[in-house]
Amino acid sequence: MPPRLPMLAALRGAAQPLGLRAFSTSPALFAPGDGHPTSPSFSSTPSSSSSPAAKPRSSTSSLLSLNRPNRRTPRQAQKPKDGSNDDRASTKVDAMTRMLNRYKNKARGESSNMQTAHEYLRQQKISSDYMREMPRRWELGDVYSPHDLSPAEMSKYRRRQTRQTDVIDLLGIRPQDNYTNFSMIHEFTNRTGQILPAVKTGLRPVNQRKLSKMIRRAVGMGIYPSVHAHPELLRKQFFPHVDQDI
Amino acid sequence: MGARTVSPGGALLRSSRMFSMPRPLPEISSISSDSTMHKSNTATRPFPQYQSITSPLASREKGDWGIKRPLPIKQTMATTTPLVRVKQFDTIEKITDYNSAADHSLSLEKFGEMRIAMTIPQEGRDRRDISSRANRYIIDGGKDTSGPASNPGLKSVFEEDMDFTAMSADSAGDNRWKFTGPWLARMSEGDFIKYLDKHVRPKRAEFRTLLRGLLAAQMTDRQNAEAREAGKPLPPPVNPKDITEEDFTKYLRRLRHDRPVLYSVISKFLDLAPLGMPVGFKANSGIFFDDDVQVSRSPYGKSGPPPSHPSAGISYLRTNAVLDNHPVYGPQADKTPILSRIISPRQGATPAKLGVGGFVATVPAGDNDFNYRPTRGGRSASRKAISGVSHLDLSTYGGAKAYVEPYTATVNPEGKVVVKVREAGAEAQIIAKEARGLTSIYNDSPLKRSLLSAPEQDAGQEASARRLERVAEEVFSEEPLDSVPEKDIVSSSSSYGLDPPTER
Repeated sequence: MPPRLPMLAALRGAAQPLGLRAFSTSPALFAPGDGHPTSPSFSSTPSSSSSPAAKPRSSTSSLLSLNRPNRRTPRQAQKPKDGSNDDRASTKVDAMTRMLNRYKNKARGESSNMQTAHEYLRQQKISSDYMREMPRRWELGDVYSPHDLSPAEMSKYRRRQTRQTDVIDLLGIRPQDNYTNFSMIHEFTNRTGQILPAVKTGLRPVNQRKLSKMIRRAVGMGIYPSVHAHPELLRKQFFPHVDQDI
Repeated sequence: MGARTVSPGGALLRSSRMFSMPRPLPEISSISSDSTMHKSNTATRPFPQYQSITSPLASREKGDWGIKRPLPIKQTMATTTPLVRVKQFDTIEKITDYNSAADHSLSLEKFGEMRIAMTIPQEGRDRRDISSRANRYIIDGGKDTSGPASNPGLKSVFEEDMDFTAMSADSAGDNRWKFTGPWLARMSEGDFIKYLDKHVRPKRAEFRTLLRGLLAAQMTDRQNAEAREAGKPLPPPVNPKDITEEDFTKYLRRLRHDRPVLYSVISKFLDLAPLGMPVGFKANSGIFFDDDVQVSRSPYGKSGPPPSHPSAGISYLRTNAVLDNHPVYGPQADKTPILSRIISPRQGATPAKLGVGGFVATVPAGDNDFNYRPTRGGRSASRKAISGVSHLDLSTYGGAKAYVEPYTATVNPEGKVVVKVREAGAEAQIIAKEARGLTSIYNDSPLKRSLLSAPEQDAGQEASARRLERVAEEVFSEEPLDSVPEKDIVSSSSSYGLDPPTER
């Protein structure tokens, strides 16, 4: 065994309170009292598992140690109030270590936040999939009984109803005055330019006749196509990314 | 007066059930697009249209319901809710068109169990957040309704100035709910044009005579005022027929530009429901020198009057100032909470919907357990979100449910009863659960008494260490705090006997 130099001893003393052990398993660096060599631990807390014989109490080691009992904080240096500095320092240091622990836990917590966000999105997806089985939009003041929550009743709200009310009566418009309203003509014709029947439009016979006459006039004048929709209404299909103002 | 002699058959019919049934209520068209696109004939309507009848067991067993023909026993006896509504007593096919009326009858019973009073809708006025638990003791009836700083408390529909059942000439003011004319803001364009053609146009002559009368009154007042100032005797009043056409036309032109006065005259003439204040209207402008021009402060100006009496006949209670009494724990600060079903979770912008006794209500607004937002700070982790609000709850058997406290209900212009709801207090929830047998609170074990043990260390050191801890908590905490249980004699859960018994 090589002779032990005081510098080496000092270094050894400095290393051990921090809990860091060298990778080398040479017996020179291990204290006789230690058992199985542990992996280097990175905690700043003093490893209480190390036996007293392994920790030489040198002055330098105690200076570097965070858990020095007589460590003076700047506040204490300024105002040494009571003589019992030791207890105060120890409680303060305990709080300090707790603070640091919380900081670490917060960092860990942030990674778990991502997990909860992922979990939340997954739950939302499952929820929306199941909500497709309940297509009814509840309005304030609706009254429901157990029958309304049954699948037989709920499925009636999935289908869009054919038009029940006469739109022309509702809005009070005169079809014959709207022969240049190509959106209206497009609303009441199908893709091949045929006028929709009254069952589909939901109009009463008088209005259906007026509307049909209006469409036939527009087509006869040549301002609306007879076998397809107006090109202005089809424009987006052919030029989807072109700006309208150009 | 002489009593008309009635034949025995006639007397029998008149006293029969069939003849004493009221007329069915008209249907109210809903203006929301969802109701036109998605509808169902078999869905429960928001209000009943037909009278619901029942029959005693002895008669029911024979099928006798007091109507023209007996109803099938197989259907009417095989139910625990023998309630029926008759649409037609006798159809062309020689049958009775009837349906079960259990949906509305039981909903009415459930609403009655809530024991809430109907109130006037609050949209028009500036209101405090009554739905928060902090403001739950605002019961005041809001007597002064004339100014904008009116009392924001709830007002019962049976208050003297709001409750009108008989229409008389002097039932003036906009506070009534029944008007001959429509509410213009809610009419569709086609309906409005029809209304103008059918009801307004024929009344033109009548309106002109009314305006003549108004102008005559105005001229009379003016000349009387002049005479009084000059000290002369009062001249005779101006006759409407003496007014020249030119004067009248000038008056009409002036009136056309004076919107508030014109609106008030027209609404009175046509008996229109009050609308909200017109745009650009200032209450303190100098136009108002006439007495009959009033700013309408009706609560129905914003959304329209209800189609029935504002109570809808569903509840006749006048106040919520009632204390519930528990047989063991005595008078309760909070009302008994209702277990409501979270019928629809929050989807995007639409809030979650609750089903309270069969009535769909919305989740209470503000900061409560339903609107859980994870925030930084020590309190967030101790509050758990109610499951089923942010997403559908698939784990709870029977669906997600939550305790809520309904505090009032209003009737909206479509005839629907909107229940207003508040989150229930924790104590009230526990007591309600105990009543259902899900928890046990009460125990006969002796009271546990313990004193707070005094710390042996120096107070200053302990305090400074604690202060540092609190600073650390404030800055970093996202975990639940280790709260020290109170060991005080007074006001601890143990001293009230609320802790579970230690030994069996």
